[in-house]
Amino acid sequence: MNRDHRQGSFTLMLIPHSDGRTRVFRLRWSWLRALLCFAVAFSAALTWFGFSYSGMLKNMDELHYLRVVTAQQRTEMEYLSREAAALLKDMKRIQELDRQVRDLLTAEKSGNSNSAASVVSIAGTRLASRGILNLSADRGLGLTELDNEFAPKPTGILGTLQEIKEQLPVQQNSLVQLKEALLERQAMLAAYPSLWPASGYISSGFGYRRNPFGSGYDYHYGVDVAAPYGSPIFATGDGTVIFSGYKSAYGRTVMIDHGYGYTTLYSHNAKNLVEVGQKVKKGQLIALVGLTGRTTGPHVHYEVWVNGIRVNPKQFMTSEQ
Amino acid sequence: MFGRKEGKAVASPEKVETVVGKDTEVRGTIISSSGIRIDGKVNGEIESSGDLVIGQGATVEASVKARHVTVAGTLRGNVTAEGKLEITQTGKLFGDVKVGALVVIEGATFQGTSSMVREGPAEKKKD
Repeated sequence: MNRDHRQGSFTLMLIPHSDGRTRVFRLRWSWLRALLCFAVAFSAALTWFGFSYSGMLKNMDELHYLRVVTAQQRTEMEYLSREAAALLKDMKRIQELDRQVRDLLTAEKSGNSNSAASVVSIAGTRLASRGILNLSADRGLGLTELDNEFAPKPTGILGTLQEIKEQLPVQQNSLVQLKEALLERQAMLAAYPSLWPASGYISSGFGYRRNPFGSGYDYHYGVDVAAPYGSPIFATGDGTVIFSGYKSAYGRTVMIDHGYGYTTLYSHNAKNLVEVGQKVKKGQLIALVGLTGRTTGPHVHYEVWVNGIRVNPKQFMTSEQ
Repeated sequence: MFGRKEGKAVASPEKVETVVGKDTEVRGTIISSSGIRIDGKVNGEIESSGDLVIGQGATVEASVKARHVTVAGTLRGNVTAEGKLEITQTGKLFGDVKVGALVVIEGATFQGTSSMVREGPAEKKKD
């Protein structure tokens, strides 16, 4: 025990070479070992700290850089958010326009009781049943919210973009259908027999009239447009020639099916210039004014059939000659 | 570790290798070729080719011969120093000295005669 004690300790003496007190320390080897261990551990810790500090410095650089980047990105984000909100507003505007166009298309239906408008209205109701026309109403709340918000939160950008993303295909689909409806309407308008069959004046109107060939009255199922012999006769609307030939009393006659229940007839022609099955455009030359059949002078006898019933063509002849 | 160095060292006048502790009293002659420090009591004679330091609180009654001598304690006896004798503020020297250089700090006590070593420390250094 004593021996261990002696072996376990030593004396450290600090002797000044000039005046000054001599200092004597009695130390234990174990303390020195502990001190050494501590020193090693401390230096290791210091080294580690140094390394981690240098790493941290590097990270600090990165941190500063990232802060700048983040600030920039936040600015960009806010900008994007505002842009997205603006886009959404534009979107709403487009939807509103879409709705207005639909309203106009369907309103025309009530004013014009023809079948083409009903086509549009069918398309319209189809769209409405799919909830496309109701979209603006559904989103109304969101729109006012956006209007009230001057600076939208950056976090809202995803929601806004999502909304735009969801609505774009819907809007596209809606516009495609509108386009189809408009094309249909255009086709209908092109087919609608709105022209005069020939350049001239009406020598005999629709309805009861005195028989030009004898006594009494008969019912005149068309209008006679008087024009010089050989004048051009035009198709009054787009359609397909369903008859081109000679009919007793009518003489040389052309009949055109315009679709939508419309059929037109042109007779007493000097010459027919189209064949059965031929597609004709509105205003296309189809025949020449003549005197064939029962007639008293050169004119074109023009009839308009709506679903097989002859009606007064005068009401259709709206376009300028 | 230290022992091995000690064995190899022939003469190291700079190093203090001998310490007479403050609770120690020596009667007789101390001869060393390296530095000596006295913190206790010495009665007799000290001879060293190194430096001698008489620490504060030490009491020496001896004739002293060394290269440089520093007195911070009490010394009664003659001093021969080829180099410098320095008596510090707390030092008391009673005796005659023969030195290469003499420094007496203010507050020190020096009672005796002094004479200089002719050759001087510079010439000694040439050896």
